[in-house]
Parts: sequence; C-alpha cells; structure tokens
Amino acid sequence: MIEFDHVGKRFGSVQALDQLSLQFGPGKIIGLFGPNGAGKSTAMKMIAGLNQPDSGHVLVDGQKPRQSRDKIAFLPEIDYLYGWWTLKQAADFMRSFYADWDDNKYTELLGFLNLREDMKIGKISKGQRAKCKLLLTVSRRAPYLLLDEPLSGIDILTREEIINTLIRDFREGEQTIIISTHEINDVESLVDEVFFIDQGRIVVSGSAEELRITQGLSLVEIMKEAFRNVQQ
Amino acid sequence: MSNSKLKMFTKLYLKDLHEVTAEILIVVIGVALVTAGFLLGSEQNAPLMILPLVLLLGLAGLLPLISSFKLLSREWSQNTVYLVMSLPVSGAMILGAKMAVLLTQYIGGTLLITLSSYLLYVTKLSQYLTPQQPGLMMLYNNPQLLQSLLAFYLSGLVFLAFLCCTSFFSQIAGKLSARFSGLVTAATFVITLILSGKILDALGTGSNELYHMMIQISGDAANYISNMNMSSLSYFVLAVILFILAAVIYDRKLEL
Repeated sequence: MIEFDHVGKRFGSVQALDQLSLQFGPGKIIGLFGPNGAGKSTAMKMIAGLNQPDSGHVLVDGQKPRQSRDKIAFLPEIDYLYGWWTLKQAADFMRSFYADWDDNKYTELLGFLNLREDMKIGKISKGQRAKCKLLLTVSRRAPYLLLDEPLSGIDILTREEIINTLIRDFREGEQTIIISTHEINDVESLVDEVFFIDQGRIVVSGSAEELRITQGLSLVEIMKEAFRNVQQ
Repeated sequence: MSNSKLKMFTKLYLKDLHEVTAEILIVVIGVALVTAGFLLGSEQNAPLMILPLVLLLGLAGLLPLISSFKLLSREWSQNTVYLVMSLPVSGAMILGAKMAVLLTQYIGGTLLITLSSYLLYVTKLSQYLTPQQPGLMMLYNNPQLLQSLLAFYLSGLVFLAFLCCTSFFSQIAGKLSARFSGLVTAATFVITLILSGKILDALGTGSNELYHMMIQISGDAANYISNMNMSSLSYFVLAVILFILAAVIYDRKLEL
C-alpha cells in the first residue's frame, strides 16, 4: 500500500502538494487526474523517491520510497533513456538492476508493440519512444507501476496500443498501477479508482464505477464539474 | 533472485565510459599522430617531439576533470537522471562508477603517452644520452629514478581523484539549488579547493610544499618520494571525504 500522510511540498511560491492525505490500495488500477500544475507529477515523483515532502510523509509498504525503489517501476513523462542506446542495450541495462525483470514478458511485448531490439532510442519517433518506455517499464513484475502521462503527445493508434498493453498485462490483485494523465477518455474504462486533484489537494476521489453511477456522469464530466466548483 | 552489485556497477561503468568516448579518442588520435610523426620523421627533429608528448600528457591529465563535469551535468541536461535516480542502488555506486571511468581515462591516456615516449626514446633519443643505455636499462640502472617517477605518477592520479571528487561534490551541492545551480557549483568548487589547500598547508603537505618538492626533483630522491607520498595520502583522505559527502547528499537531499 502507498500512503500519503499530510504531505506538503512547495517549489518557490508554488504549493505543489497541500496537506495531501490519501492511500493507494493494492491490486488496482488507479487514475490520478487533474489540470496542469495540480501536483500529479510531484506526487508520482515522490512515490518513486525522486523528491521528498517538506512536511508529512509518504510510505510504500511501510518504508520510505527511497528504500523501496526495487518495488517501483516508474515511467516519467519526459524521455529519460540514453539516446545512443538501442532497445536491446536499454533492456540489458534494466535486466541487470531489477530481479523482477521478466524476459518472456519482454519478448512477448516486443512483438505486440511492433518494436525491434536494434532500434536506436534517439532516432525513433515520439510514439515509438513512448512504446519503448512502456515496454521497459512493464517488462518488470514490479508490485507498483507508476505511469506519468504515458499518453501525452501520442497519436490515437499508439495510445490504443499502450492501453491494450496495460489491460493485457495487468495482474489483478498483485499489481498496483497508478496512471496520471490528461487523456481521461482513453483510460476511463481502465481505472478502478480515481483521485481528482487540484492545487495539491484532493477534490474528488472514489471508485470509478460508483462515481459514474451516483453522479450519472462520465469521469471527464465529473472532473469538469469538480474543477468548475473549485474555481467558483 | 537478486542481481549482483558487481554486475550493476559494471553496467553503470560501461554506460559512463561510452559517455566519454570523444575525450578518449582525442588522446588516442593525438598520440597516434605524434608517434607516426617521430617514426616517419627525420632523426634530427626527434627531440622536438618531446614537446607535443608533454602537451598530450597535460591534456590526458586535464580531460578527465572536464569529463567529470560532463558526466554529471549531462544526466540532468538529457533527463537521464530520472533513470539513474530510480535505480535501486546507492549514490556511492553511481558516483563510484563515474569515478572509475575518469581514472580509467587518465590511466589509459597517460600509459599510452608513456608507451609512445618509450618508443621515441628507444628509436630516436637514446643516442643522445651518454653513456648510451638502451630502453628499460636506464630505469633498471636508476631504481631511485623509477621510484620517483612512480611516486610522481601516483601523486598525479590521487590529485586527479581529489579534483574529480571536488567536481562531484560541487555539482551535487549545486543541484540543491534550483535557480542558481551553475553559480553554486562554481562557488562550491572554488571554495572547496581553497579550503582544501588551507587544510593541507596547515598539515604541511599542501600545494606550496608540493611545488617545492617538484622543483627539487633532482635532489634527494628518498626525501622527495617520502614527501610526495605524504602529500598524496593527504589528498587521498580529502578526496574520500568529499566523495562520501557527495554520495550522502545524492542519497538524502537530491531531488528532481
């Protein structure tokens, strides 16, 4: 389980997270939604141990995030792989660091995503790079998968491929996937639980299915409604 | 099954070694050109070849320091720091792999130049010495000269390690400031060097003493070697302290 307990984080004059308290339960696909600057990426980086709270604390299975890095597979929004690497070199690198790396899964997904091992990361299209990043992240059997804007700037066909990969590969009950994205339409059918955040605070949260039934709206409409109320 | 630390270190080392390919090639090509120059050139011009070799030696010593800045700053400029900081390894291993690359670069470069110099000596220069001593015989007949050269070489290696640790420490301290990273890095680098110099001078093994020792190289060799070793030891201790500080800040304070 991942817990945020009254977490505060400020960057200069910007309050990125404001007394944020939440829990991401195990074995679910969780959507972290919100507008630009809402604090989604800050929260994701905090779970990955890439930044730390100014106040409060974050725990991953009862441990500090920096002590739990082997449990977390993090896919950041930006291109974080070495441009001179081929996909094979990148996979060899990851394989050496993570005991949960699954070669069978990697080989299977390589074909499913129409990627080749000799592709040079720095010379392929943005969509192919997004697929490479996803391949390297989901080829691990990590208990926690953090996907920060995995669909950002990607064409609709590639977006579909990425979502199909996630659905195909999700180990229900064993793995927790947290997706932060603006493309709520694309992941609406995927998420079990949602957290809408704005200015570092939870605006709406709950089971995606329950929210849809009780409010009679889609997740996109629920988000629009929630943020309209916040702005007023 | 857990992955071995050695395997992880090797992967980091090879990745970082690739990042300094250009600097390694500069020295290799330079040495190849100078060696070809004196092998193909006339006997009379051979002594002049000592100058480019000395310049190359300086370059081989300087490039690892430049690489130390490049190795770390590139991780941030190319966003690969997101990958590196997500790895389940300590800052000591990340920085240790980079340090191993810089030392490899220095040792490889200087050995290549030594080899070229030796070739120059045996093929063209030994005739100028009286009495003539072919090849390694000169060193064999002068054990103190060999010891002095080794002490000098090791001092260079330790001093480079100290400078690279100062570079790592300064850059990581600089990354703690979001807005003035470059300025903080430069200031920390200069201040650390000044403070280190003061500490070593207070201990009697500082840069001034080192300078005096260097100009007395032809004097009492045993005394020179002993002083050189003391100075190296002091720089080594400082390098270790700075390395540990950099690794601790990396592990505990660094944020993206």
